[in-house]
Amino acid sequence: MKLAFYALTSCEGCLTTLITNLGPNLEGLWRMFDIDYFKLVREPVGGVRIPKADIAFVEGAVVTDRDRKTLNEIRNNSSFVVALGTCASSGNIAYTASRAVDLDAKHLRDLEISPAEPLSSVVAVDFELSGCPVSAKEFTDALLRLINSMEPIQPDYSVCYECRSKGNPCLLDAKRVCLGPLAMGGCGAACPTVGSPCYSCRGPAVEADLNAYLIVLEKKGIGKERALMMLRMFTGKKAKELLKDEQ
Amino acid sequence: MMIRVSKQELLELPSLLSAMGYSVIAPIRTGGIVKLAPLGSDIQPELEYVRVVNSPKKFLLPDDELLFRYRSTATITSYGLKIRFPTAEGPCPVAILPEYNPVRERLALFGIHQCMVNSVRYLDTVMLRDPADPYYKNRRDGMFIAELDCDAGDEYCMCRTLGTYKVPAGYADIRMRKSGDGYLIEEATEAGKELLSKLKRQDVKGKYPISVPKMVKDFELVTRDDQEIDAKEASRSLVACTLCAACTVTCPTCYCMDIEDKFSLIDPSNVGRTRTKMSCQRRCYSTIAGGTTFLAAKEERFKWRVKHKFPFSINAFKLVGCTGCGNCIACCPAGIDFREFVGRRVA
Ligand code: SF4
Ligand code: SF4
Ligand code: SF4
Ligand code: SF4
Ligand code: SF4
Repeated sequence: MKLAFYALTSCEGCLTTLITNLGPNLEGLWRMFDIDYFKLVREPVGGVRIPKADIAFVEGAVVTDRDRKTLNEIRNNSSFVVALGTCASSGNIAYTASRAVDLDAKHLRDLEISPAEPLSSVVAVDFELSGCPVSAKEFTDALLRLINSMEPIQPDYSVCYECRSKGNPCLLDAKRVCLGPLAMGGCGAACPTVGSPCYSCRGPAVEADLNAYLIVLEKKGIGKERALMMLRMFTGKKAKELLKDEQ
Repeated sequence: MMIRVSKQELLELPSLLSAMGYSVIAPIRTGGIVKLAPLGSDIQPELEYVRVVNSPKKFLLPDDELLFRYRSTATITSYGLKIRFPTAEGPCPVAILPEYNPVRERLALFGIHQCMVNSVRYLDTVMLRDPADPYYKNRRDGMFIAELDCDAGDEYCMCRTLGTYKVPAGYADIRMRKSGDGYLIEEATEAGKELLSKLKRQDVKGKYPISVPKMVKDFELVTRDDQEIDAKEASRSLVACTLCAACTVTCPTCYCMDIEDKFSLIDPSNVGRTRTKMSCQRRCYSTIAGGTTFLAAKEERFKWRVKHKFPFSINAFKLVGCTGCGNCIACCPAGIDFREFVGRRVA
């Protein structure tokens, strides 16, 4: 079975995470699959050409014209396309940031960049694994399910679920904005566990309810401006849907 | 038998318990909250507290527990790796690897309040019914409970209404309560007696006092009927529910668990079957094949939770599933209070 790993415009943090966090599993990955394209590990077998693959994992947002072209080629050559990480699944920081700059400005015009988009704005995506960076464990689970013709599972709970399970004090009680109730869980509440608020880097939870969350903020006497700003930061295009009633 | 000891002497108990071979779990104050955690030698247990944000369940029914391993019939085919799942593709010759070696770790819960002792009773009722859950039983057998009486609850407590300020017989090895500048301790079992014999003590005559903790807000229960609960309006108070599930996560009697098979790329046919936490506030709790979710609305999930605590538990176990600890209210970001739903405020 052929796998391929690509990076569009990104920090390559997701692919790096796979290499560093899969540990001994990485060897298993190479042993069990034919991996013709994974630039961070070795020179692609067929050079720059996009090879045929059963499953393509694509990291990064679509920003440049070349990204667009590569992605289309990946789609045409792969049976299954998985968006790897938050850039690929929602556009991440680049989504909002690229809309805040004048892309027609002289020094940017020649770069052929357009406002950042998640993969799903350009091609059909079969599954999205969120996370900035993606979790190696979720990647493994998804892969093992996919090769057995089963749909991978996306967490249906928010970050609070894991945060409360750990017995953490809630940051909202300390009047600090935390996006936990809106954010897709699965990270083990990494940030709140060390006392930093959740910025929802994995995108919105499956059942995120912005209205409920804003009432909660109000009850706790926390202004909503900061929360909305934080929400726009990582959740990119997905926040747009959630924020459609807030300008 | 009842004795009186100084506070200093009482604080000797955790280390005496460790010396007797117990792993001691006690309330610890950290970051503005109190939670139950393993007691290291350098930490003092918290004695002046009302609420712990977790509960004995965390230790009796741990999340992510490996139940056993099995060999699936995984083969590497020309099309990659193929694992035959016993459930997805019909029965397949799996070999169960009996890798489960129970760790004989004897737990001691030190300084938990009455509501938490009652939660152990409820979990026992559920988990030890025939057939008993071997994993739970293994941890529960020989466990030591040193209960600490709570005199006054906070604004979320409801143990007075439910009678759960009383410790059921056989559920505490010793009982402790503050009295003047020292503590009164009652030995309730043989294990308790053995522990207390190691203390510098003064014997006291009379019966161990029972007092009802003071409630900040007092409620009487007005409904615990299935149909009455269903008929009640709840949607308005639930607009602010974020479905975070903190109410079930922090509830000492919520015992819902899921089963998950864990794979690795190192040895893909060697599968670990684990038990992980679950909650009725999650969508997948009531989602079935095809995608239908029975408890789709927040209101239905809330009512399900309340019904499980009252009518369902009463019918199935002859025991109320709520110990009145108030964690589900205190930890709810939206401040949703089931007491106002099933009860009425009394002066
Ligand atoms: S999702 Fe995060 S870690 Fe992954 S490529 Fe984007 S910025 Fe980097
Ligand atoms: S700190 Fe954040 S993630 Fe944790 S319970 Fe509170 S809101 Fe949820
Ligand atoms: S804790 Fe409150 S907000 Fe969270 S699911 Fe329960 S009722 Fe809803
Ligand atoms: S339902 Fe609420 S008050 Fe009752 S035992 Fe659970 S957390 Fe405590
Ligand atoms: S059904 Fe809900 S209320 Fe009942 S034990 Fe499970 S999680 Fe708790």
